[in-house]
Amino acid sequence: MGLAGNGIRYPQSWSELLPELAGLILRLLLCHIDRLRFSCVCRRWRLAAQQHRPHLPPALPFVCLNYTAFLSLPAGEARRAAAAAAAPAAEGISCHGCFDGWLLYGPHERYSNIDKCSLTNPLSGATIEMPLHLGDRAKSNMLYTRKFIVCSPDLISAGCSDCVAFYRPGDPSWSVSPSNDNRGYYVDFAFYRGKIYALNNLADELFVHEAGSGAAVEHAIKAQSPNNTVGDLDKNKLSCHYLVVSCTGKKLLMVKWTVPPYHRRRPTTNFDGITVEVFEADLEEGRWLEVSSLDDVEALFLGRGCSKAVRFNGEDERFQGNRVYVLGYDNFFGYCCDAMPSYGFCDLRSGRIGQVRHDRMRVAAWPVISMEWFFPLE
Amino acid sequence: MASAGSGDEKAAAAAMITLISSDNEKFEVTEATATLSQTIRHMIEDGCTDGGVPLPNVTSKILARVIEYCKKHATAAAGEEGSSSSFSDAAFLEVDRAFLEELEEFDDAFLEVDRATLFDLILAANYLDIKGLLNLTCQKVADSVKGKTPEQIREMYNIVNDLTPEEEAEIRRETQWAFE
Repeated sequence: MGLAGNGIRYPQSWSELLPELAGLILRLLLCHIDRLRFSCVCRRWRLAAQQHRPHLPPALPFVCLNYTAFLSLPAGEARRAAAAAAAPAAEGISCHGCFDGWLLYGPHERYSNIDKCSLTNPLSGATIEMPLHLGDRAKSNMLYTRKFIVCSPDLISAGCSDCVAFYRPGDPSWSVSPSNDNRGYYVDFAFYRGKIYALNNLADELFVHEAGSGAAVEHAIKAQSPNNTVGDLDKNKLSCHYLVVSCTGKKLLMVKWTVPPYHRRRPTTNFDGITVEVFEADLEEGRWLEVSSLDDVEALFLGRGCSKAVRFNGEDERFQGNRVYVLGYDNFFGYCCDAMPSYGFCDLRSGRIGQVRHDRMRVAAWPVISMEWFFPLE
Repeated sequence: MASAGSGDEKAAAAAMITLISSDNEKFEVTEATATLSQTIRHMIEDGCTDGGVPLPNVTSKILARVIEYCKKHATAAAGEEGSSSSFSDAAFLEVDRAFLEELEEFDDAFLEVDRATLFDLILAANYLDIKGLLNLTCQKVADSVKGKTPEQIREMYNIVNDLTPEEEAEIRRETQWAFE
């Protein structure tokens, strides 16, 4: 350390970087691996990284491919990270899903005598064990659950097409909160203000489930007039509806990403007819309000396993705010079997639809049977 | 609005502050330039800037650069204030855009410095509490370490690896999945 005129010691070299400054730099690193590498440079940087870890904004998600590899883009290179560390030792167990920063493990065979499944955080090694079946009522196998949400370490929720189930680690069974929606089924779920919000497939109706409240769900948003909800009656269009909570946690958003049928898109680089609409839940009035743009630094990553709002403030052209990102640009959803691992995005400001590409993966050309966002959680 | 702070006569008419570097060099700047630093702004508000503001942590070489930055951005801030009321006016937006581009070019050129200077600029921006400059310099560092291995980062920033073998082992355990 150097000595200033007044006797105050001040740092002179990069290894003496003040922790708060290291924090500012870490905050600007979007890739989790870059953050990890930063923390491996020297002792002071490591200490600073450990200090700031809990307070950093979420890193960019990885793309989890086939539940075995994680790909990262932000540094301009595709990195393959093995999930070897996460693979459970037990025989007959395999990975069945990726939700947020959790991987779902369960029996490999459908008819096995294993009656547990678990969510594992491959980074921290934390594991939550859960009963494999919902109970007699549904006879459902949890491996076919649409979405798991770890609301807190003490509360897991599982969203199914006809119910939301809750589980408190250590309990003998799930508690099921059945849907009172007798016409449609649930397509997506979000944990918002301490409750689970479920969206149905018919008219974007929104239902609320609470842990410990049994059945009876609140019907937060009822079907609106057809003009408001079903803009285009073309039944051949593929439409995916997602629920996602804004960065600040204040807004519950619904995004509809609609793609014309595959056979009608020639060439496949043509984006005509693709529409992306964003709505905010107005729970007081019980309606959806269309929003034309997001916060300038807010981007939405949408996926079946997990959707999240991420804050961007960097220069990287590929990762900018006011955008909606989805997986599998080449064919969008539904056809990911031979899709290249890539993101598609819609810039809400300009309406432009574009691609974030994994260049190196073109060479790999492995069959992709599943793609999900993986949000690294420490 | 675009001429604010650019003419010598105008600058002389504005309130001037004297900044004194660690090696005792004196810099005369306008209050508008100086108050981009929250630290100096508070000193001015507290009325303790008579006889100059000593900055024992900042050398004259770095202070000169910091002032260069503040002058440019103080002009920008003045421009923004002037045009905010007519924000919808297309002509003003055009001017704003041109000015923002110029500012971006200035920032890019400003960051063309060696690693040691960059480090000193970060420290000065932090000490003087100049948000824009701090963001700019930290972004430069962040961009430079992206995609680099720890060893490459050490080389780039001349850092000695002082991790103990135990810590190294711990790191390997934690990051094995990521570094394959």
